Amino acid sequence: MPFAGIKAVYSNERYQNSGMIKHSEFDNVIIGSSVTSNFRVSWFDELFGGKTLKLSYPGGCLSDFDTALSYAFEQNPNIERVFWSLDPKILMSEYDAESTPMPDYLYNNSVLDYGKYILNKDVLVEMCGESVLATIKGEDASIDDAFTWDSEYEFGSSQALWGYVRPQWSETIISEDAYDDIVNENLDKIISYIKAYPETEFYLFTPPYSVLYWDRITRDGTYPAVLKLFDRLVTDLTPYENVKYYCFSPEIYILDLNNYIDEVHFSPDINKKMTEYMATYDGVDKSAIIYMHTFFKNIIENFDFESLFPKILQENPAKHRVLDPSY
Amino acid sequence: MLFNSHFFIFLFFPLSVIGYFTLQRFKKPQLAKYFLFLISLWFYAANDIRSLPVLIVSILVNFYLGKQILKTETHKKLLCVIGILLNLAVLGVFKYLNFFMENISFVFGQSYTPISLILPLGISFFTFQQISYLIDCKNNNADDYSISEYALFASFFPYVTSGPIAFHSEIIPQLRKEKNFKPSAYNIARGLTAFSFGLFKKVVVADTLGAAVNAGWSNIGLLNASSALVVILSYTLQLYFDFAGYSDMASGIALCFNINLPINFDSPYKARNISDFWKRWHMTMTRFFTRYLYIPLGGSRHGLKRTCLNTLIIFLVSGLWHGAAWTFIFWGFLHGIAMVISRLISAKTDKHLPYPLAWLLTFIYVNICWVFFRAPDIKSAFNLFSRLTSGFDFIISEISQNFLTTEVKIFRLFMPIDDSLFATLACVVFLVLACLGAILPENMQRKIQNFKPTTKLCYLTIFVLFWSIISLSGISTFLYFNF
Repeated sequence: MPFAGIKAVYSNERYQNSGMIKHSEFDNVIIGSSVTSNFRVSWFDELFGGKTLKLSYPGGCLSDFDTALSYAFEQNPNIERVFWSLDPKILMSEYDAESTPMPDYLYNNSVLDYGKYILNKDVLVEMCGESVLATIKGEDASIDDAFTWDSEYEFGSSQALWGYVRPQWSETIISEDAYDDIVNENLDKIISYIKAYPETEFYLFTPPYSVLYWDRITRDGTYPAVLKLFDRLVTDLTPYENVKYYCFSPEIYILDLNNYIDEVHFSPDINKKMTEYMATYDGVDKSAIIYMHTFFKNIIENFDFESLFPKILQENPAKHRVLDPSY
Repeated sequence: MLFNSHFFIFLFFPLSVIGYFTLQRFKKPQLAKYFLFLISLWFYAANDIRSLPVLIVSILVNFYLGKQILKTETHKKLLCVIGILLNLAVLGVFKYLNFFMENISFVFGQSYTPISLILPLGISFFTFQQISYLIDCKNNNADDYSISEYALFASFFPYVTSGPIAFHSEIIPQLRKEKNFKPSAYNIARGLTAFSFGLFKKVVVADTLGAAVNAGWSNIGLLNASSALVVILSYTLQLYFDFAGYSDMASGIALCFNINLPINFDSPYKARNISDFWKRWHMTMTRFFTRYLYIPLGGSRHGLKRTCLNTLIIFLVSGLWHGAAWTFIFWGFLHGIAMVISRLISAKTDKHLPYPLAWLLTFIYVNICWVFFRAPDIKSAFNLFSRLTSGFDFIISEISQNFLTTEVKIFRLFMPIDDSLFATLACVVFLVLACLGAILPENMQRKIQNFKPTTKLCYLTIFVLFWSIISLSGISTFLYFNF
């Protein structure tokens, strides 16, 4: 929190989340990548009770979430609920894959590391400057809107397609086992929390990537590994009593690009639907696998992906977005 | 441990200087050297403790061999050759074994599973320093040093990991000089100035450029011609500011101990031809190769053809020294060929191109060569070049957003323009300033030699040091999401 009289600004979650873990009281935690940024903590407070803390890390990898969550449990070992977004892209990347840099030194209680925070131009110049400006302008930041990005972007089909680099058809289909080592390491880390905190309820969910993601994995040949990952999320996670797993991928709204700004990022309406769903229904069990498979295979085999791309875009793709087939 | 870390700047560096001069004050020069040696081992081990035994064994074996070479009258050459081969064998095993085995296996159509080996940090530097010592022992150009002197020379922390490649004859006499046993305010002022500007070059300039370069190489398929140009130029500048910045820091740290290190960079991008470039770039490496390889091969004493061949050999070896990959060898080859052509032209005519044209051609050629130096493989280098034909457009956001540093974001408040236009503008302005910074000012290492402390310079140094320190633990955040 800034000095008295100076307004708070929520501008950099990687720095500020650590302070919120350290200094705020919370019962529930939301954790995940940028797809969790637009969740409002008030929705969770209202539907689940208690006080919720959102720890979103845009551009994050699993090690970032691990750093933050372990620190959150260190500060409050009695967290009631953890809402954890299990992005397929992140689960299929190395545990410590290259991600937006994380100030790991803030996620501990060592006084020695304070210097790195204070003697830091991001903090001294940028964040302090933003707070001073907000104070001068009299702007009040709401904790409910902290670190959300939905007001900065327009959702819609053309926006979603603009940034999408369509891969060339892969000559080979990647084996479903190709990502096993990576997925094992990542799932082991998630399961270690589930086992270590049996009193905490883990609401684990797969965010609804758009149909463009399914276009990508169909063309680049990685879809067998993705389907296997979805199976494993059900088989490996749901046996634990303190786990509720929700798969939001087999939903009809993933087919409508008007809900998206790009391949994976969806509108806050969907965030709200997800929250309400988790508050109302139990998670899936093994019987859901058949339904999920049918849905996904139907998309991969029968969806007319070409219909997503207006003819003009196919004939005149933006120059800087054409992926040369030789790479 | 890195020079550009809080621990080094606030604890390690001041404590090592205080400890060293405290022991000197109590008339314990021997102990002071051991102290600095142990401190250097700590510095080295902090990077990867598994490499420490390699450094220690290398020091002990070379010290022993040096003593034997100095003692014997009859077997000097034999012992020296054994010593050189041992050093090259260590370098070969740790740095080149997998590379050679992979290529041999490829030639014979066999598959090869690389052996998992550590690559001791700075092995090329400390091995070369010690080879030079053995050769000088053979030529009776080395004194009979004590183990504390030799061990400190071989492991001195300012240069043990990244050079400059200093000779024993430059360092040990300075360690012996009684005048150097007392701290010198003048040298500390020089040292801190060099360190501060070096830190700025590394942290503020090189690291910003590095982030853009990495983004470019990760997105080759997305690059348009302007973005590809930015990647190429950014890497040229990154390499200079990174390496020259590190050399400035090393010189600055050593100066605080009253040790002058040899100059390693002399504004290389001011060079008017390739030969001039190599007189200015990584000068201590060029000096080593000239003294211990080029001249023994015959240098320029056996006619033009032999000179050209020797030059080419030197540059191929230099390429391999930089890294165990064909990209480095090809990079060395390109420089070697340019040197040979330059020599052939000078043999035919005395005429020179006008400086601006000569400078431009040299700078462009050096840029092209660096692409191979950075590329993961030769094909990728050509892929990057092929993007130069893909049409000019805005610099892609994946690259340009790396230039939106905190400093730049301040200007953003006063320039309400489109994000991508602002990022492109930031990128262009940064590159222009970095180019001017590499080309116009007097080189820091020269400046330090003729150092005149002034109040203005003192304030500037404090500001540069402060700004660099507050840039150490910053993290970049991006406008666009990426998983």
